Amino acid sequence: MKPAHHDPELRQLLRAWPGNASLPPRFRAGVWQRITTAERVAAPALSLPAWLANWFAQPACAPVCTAVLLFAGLGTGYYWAGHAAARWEAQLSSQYAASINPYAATPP
Amino acid sequence: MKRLVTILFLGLALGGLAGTGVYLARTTPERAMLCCPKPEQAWLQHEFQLTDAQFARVQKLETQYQAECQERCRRVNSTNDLVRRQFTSHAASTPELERLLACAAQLRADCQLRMLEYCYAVSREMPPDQGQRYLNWVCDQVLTMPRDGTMMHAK
Repeated sequence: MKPAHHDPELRQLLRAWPGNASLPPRFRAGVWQRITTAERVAAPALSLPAWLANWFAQPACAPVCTAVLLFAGLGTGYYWAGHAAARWEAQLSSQYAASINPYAATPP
Repeated sequence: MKRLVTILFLGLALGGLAGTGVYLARTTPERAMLCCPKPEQAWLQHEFQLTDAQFARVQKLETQYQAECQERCRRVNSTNDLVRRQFTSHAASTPELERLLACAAQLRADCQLRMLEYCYAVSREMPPDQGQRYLNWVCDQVLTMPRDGTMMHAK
């Protein structure tokens, strides 16, 4: 079968078309929106690794990930430092109490 | 995939470095205290905000108190030995046991009194608000008696 654009009759008919009809407003945007909607409906659900790979391929991902990991590191460091400081201070205060109280180990 | 691994690796490295930095910065005073020859004294200076001059005077008091305390402890130990020997060598209480027990109780009271006098002396070297806070702390930590003032067997 010959392609439609090789049909001489069709070509003649197309040439005879005045071609001055104006498009409705936002015609192009509407077409793209319909294409996007159709692709979204037709696209199969992505698996987690594929979704992750897709997400990490986006340019905004690197700074977002780095910021999240940086703040997680800062938070973890702050939390553990508080714990360690409280533990050491409790230990040192007990040591001081024991150093001045000769009955520390054997309360009356 | 390579991009993912790179981002994660760099993010984790940066987070780890930042966390370590915060940890080291926030625990600097405590780590410095632990490295001192007498960490408990360093804690006292840090906790009750003593200046170097005040801390030097407190250390002098502490040296004097510890020397006297050792002597009192030696006397308490020898009295306790005598009480133990007296108790186990007789079938009933003796006037000597009674005298030794009174002596041991007197030594114990004297020991506690000297300790409290030392605490008062230390508190006087501190700024007034810190001195009061120190005495409150001593009361909770060192003065080992029931908080409501009642003995256990009286309940």
